Amino acid sequence: MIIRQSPLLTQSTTTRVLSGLKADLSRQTEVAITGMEVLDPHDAAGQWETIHGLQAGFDDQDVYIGNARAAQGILATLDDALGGASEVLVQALELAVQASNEVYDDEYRAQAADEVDMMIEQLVSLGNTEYADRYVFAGTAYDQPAFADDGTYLGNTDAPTMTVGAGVEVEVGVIGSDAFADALQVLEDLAAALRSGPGSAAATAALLDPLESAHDTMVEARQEAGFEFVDAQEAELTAETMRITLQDALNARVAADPIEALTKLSELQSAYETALQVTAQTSSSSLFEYLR
Amino acid sequence: MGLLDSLYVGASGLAAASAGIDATAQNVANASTPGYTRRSVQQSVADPIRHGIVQIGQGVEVTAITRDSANLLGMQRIEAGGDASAAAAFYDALAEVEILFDETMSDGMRSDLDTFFDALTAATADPSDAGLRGAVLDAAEDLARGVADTAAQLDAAQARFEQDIEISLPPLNAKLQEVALLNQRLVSAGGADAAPDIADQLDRLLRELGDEAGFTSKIEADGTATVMLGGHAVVEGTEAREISYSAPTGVSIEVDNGYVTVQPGGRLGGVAQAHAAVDGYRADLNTFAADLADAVNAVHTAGFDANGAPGVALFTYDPADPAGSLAIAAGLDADSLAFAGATPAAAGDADNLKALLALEDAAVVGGKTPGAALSALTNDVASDVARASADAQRAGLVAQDLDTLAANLHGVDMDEEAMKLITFQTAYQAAAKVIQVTDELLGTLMELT
Repeated sequence: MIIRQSPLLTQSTTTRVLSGLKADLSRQTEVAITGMEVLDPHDAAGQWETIHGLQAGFDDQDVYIGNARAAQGILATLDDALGGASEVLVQALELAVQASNEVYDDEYRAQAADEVDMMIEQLVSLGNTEYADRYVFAGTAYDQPAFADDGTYLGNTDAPTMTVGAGVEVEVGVIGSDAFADALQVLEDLAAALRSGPGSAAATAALLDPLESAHDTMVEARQEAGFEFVDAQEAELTAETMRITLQDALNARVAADPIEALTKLSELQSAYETALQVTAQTSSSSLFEYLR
Repeated sequence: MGLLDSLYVGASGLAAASAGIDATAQNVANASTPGYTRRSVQQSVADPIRHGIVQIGQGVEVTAITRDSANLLGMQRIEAGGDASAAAAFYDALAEVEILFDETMSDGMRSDLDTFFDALTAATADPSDAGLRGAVLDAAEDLARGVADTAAQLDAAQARFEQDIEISLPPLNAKLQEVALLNQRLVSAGGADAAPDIADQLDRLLRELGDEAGFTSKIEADGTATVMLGGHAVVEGTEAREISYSAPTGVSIEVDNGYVTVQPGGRLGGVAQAHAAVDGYRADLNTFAADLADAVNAVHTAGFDANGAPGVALFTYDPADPAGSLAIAAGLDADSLAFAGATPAAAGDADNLKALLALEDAAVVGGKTPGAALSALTNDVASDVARASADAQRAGLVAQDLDTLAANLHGVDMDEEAMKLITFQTAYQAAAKVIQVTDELLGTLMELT
């Protein structure tokens, strides 16, 4: 069989080869410049659910980190406020212990009652602690004070939560009525007992247990807030770790290895130049040239 | 045999060599002409003259100048060319559409969807915060706009495909008429061997018709071509039928009792195939838009807004075109977002917000989560483009192989033509020498007399 090579075929073959190489070269240049192996959807056909999932997960972590930090801010404020309230109750307890002793006279008890009134004001003030315009003891009704001046609870009993991870929530508030109601009531009872004249020592002594119980409630509330704070910290740490893990997983699927990308680019450049030289040689070589 | 006979024999050699040089010149001149088929001189020994018991040779005669063509291969090339054009056109058209689903730079519908759910997650920090609520509304608006824009661009691509097919038909009909005309000229000339240039033109046209719309053809005994599309003859002898296009019917051929719809091949077939594929993407996008909007609205209307009023639909759409018309309900503002589960709404009541957030992992779009539904759509487009690319390469290689084979059979090889030229030149010089010698011998003879 005679093998013929027509100029038309040579032309179409070289055009096809050169244009194929040029397309490969163009793509590889883009890979090297962008550092991405996946430049178009068809470069990762069948993998988009995974890639999208990784991208979405990566973006989610930023939101979780933001929420976790905000939660920690609120919970740290709660911790300070509950710590202050505990101290107030410790002072009240010390005062009640002294006042339950018959040695002290009415004048002392009247002064003590005034002190207790101030403690009530302090507790109400602590109960209305704000973090970024948010009354942290008001439940989900945190856009208004948790307590009225007379100690009446104005908030609700729904604990606000924040999403700090996939399906992970932390409570970012303590229900003021749970933490403060007993304390305010017992302090009001204490003030009344101190002002009750003869027999007030006994009445005051009867309030020691309720005072301790209110203090315990406050400590427990603080502990709960502390646990939530730790959860928020862990959530932030988890999100930061997940961010790195997801970024690595995403890179493994869509990013190009720089050394490999540049090596391929160099190979394709050489192939293209060689193809140009071969084209130049083959298009001018024929018997006609030889006979000339 | 006399000297005069030798003169005639030499002259016949000159004529044959001259015809060979002519054919070679024609081959060299058309070496780069698309559709040209190499010419060969067919020569044979001229009938001898009987002189007594001796037969005296009368030299050589040129019996024909033939086209070195193979009809079967030609038909295979036309089919392969049509397949390659169809695959390449399908790939090119889909690559144009693929850009709409390019999320490699985190910028697209899926990214908009993620941003929407991220905004809802961020809002759990403080559902009453105007900034966070505004971000949710903005993200919802971006998502709706992203879906509607993609739908609009898919529609625009469809319109371009339809326009491409429409504007391609008049030149195609003109070519079909031209085939009918060439058939007529071939018959008048006495067939392909008698009119090789017309046969070449016909071959080129048939190939172009195959590439453009997948027309197949059959060369009849008289050299004329019968052109078929979808099993229907569009050119038969000197008769050509007109083909037309109307969306959504498609391409049809005018027959005796009306029109018959056919599926074109070639480039137009590839474009039509892309049109059908985009129809599928558009339908999936409609399902996504309608199902997502319905799911979000169902949850949203179960909640209460910042003012304690019952939630209203967040998304609106026209059931006739959900994706193209997806939008945020008119008149909504950040306070309208129904994040609360009860009324009066407490600032931190996020019960309904969490219900909205739960939609991210709920199978509410055709049995899939919203994100998975969009990823599946991207995967469909990406897989179609990848498959089209592979098909285009494979079909291109088949066509290329047949081209190589065709070049071997009827292409012009310059080296071969150069050798033929030397051969014919030598033959011509030898024949001339015979005439010269005979002439000298005759001169010698004349001097003797």
